[in-house]
Amino acid sequence: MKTDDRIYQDVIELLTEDIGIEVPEPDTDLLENGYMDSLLFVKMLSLLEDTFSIHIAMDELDFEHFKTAAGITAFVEQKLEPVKPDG
Amino acid sequence: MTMPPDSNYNIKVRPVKRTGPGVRAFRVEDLPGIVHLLGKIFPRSPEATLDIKEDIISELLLNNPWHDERLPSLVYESGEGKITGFLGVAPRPMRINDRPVTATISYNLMVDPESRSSLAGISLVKAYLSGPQDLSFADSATDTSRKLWESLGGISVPLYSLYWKHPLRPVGFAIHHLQKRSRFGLLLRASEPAGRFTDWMVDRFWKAGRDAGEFNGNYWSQETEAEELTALIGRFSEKASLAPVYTTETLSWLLNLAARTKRFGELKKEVIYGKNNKLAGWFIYYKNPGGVSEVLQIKSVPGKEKQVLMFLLQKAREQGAVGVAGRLEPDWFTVFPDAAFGFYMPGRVWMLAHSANRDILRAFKGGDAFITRIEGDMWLL
Repeated sequence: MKTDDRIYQDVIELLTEDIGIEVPEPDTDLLENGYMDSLLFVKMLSLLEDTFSIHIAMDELDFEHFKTAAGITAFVEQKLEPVKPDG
Repeated sequence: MTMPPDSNYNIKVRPVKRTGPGVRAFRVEDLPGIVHLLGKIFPRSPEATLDIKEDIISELLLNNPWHDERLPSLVYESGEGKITGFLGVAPRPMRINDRPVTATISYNLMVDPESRSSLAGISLVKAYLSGPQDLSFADSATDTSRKLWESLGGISVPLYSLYWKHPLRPVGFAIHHLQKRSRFGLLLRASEPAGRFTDWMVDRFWKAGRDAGEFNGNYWSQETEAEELTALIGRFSEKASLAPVYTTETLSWLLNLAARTKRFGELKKEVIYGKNNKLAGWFIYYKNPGGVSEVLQIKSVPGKEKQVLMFLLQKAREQGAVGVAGRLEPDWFTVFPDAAFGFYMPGRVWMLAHSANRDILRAFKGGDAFITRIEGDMWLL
């Protein structure tokens, strides 16, 4: 499984090379500061799904998770966590 | 207990005095802001065109007979309380097999060009698709809308995204289309008289061929109204798994609204009869001399499809249209190639659907839905 740091690097690479955003800081608000419009956001979701082999359902699509590179990393990390068996 | 409209949406319900941007249900006082947005998005539209759009949107928002507080149109409000996005939502009662379906069509997804770096577009679509309706659909959606929908679990429906166009006056038809897409509008206008002469020559040959054929007096049409159409739609949609449910009053309202869109011409509703005055079919279209007649709905009794279609073409030709266009619905797939029509998917315009009900999605995917342009939004655009 990818480590947090590796996931963060992949997220930054995805944002920089595929989306075309130079992320100043891990906590820079990409939405509030106008780095992404709706279509870039959709493109980012699709790339996240492809890059990390995850599925993002509509009810998981809380924009708060995707505001910063750090937030996106945390979201991906959570998606990649193996499901723990009950008990 | 009556729930406020916003509570039906899986979105953060914000107080009226908001501190940040967000989606909320449309309120009557939003109308001027939406009209202002319309003007910004279509800056080159003549004022009269904008007036008609405003009139139609107002009617849809304020006087819709299917109005349902649980299914509101949505606005995106900026942090300063300015409306920077809008998504029209119109309920359309339907049935899947024998069960009623709460369906809604979305129309006019608009985002202020100055606010496109916001997430207004996807926020509006997400809020809409999270609503309590059984089926959300969009007709004539752009590629941008398609991407937004698909990212949120919606599907594009290729079977209901095919369109046909048939030139009646080839030169006039070509000029008509080039004028819409070309920078040489004046030059093309100057060539119109020569084009009309060429088309007149073609017309003579066409008419001579048709007059000798099966259409000479065998078929005739009569103007009709909502009452008869409601009965016909009910009867002809019986076999479809998914179909609209109209009353005379609701269909009449919808048709009157479609008639207000003057940009396509005059709305005509005609029933066609054949030998022994037997019903052959019907069509609803815009009479458009000098332009392309857009067809909203064309249906026929089994086996008479070609005759109904040819009758429509002849009618449009007599009225002076340069061509006829419509959506190629699945029940017409075999007729069009037989009648030598080309069909295509123009400008990536899509039918989009979203539903948790598998039967509904199966009806769309399998071409088993009675969804025509009357149910759609083409005439709203």
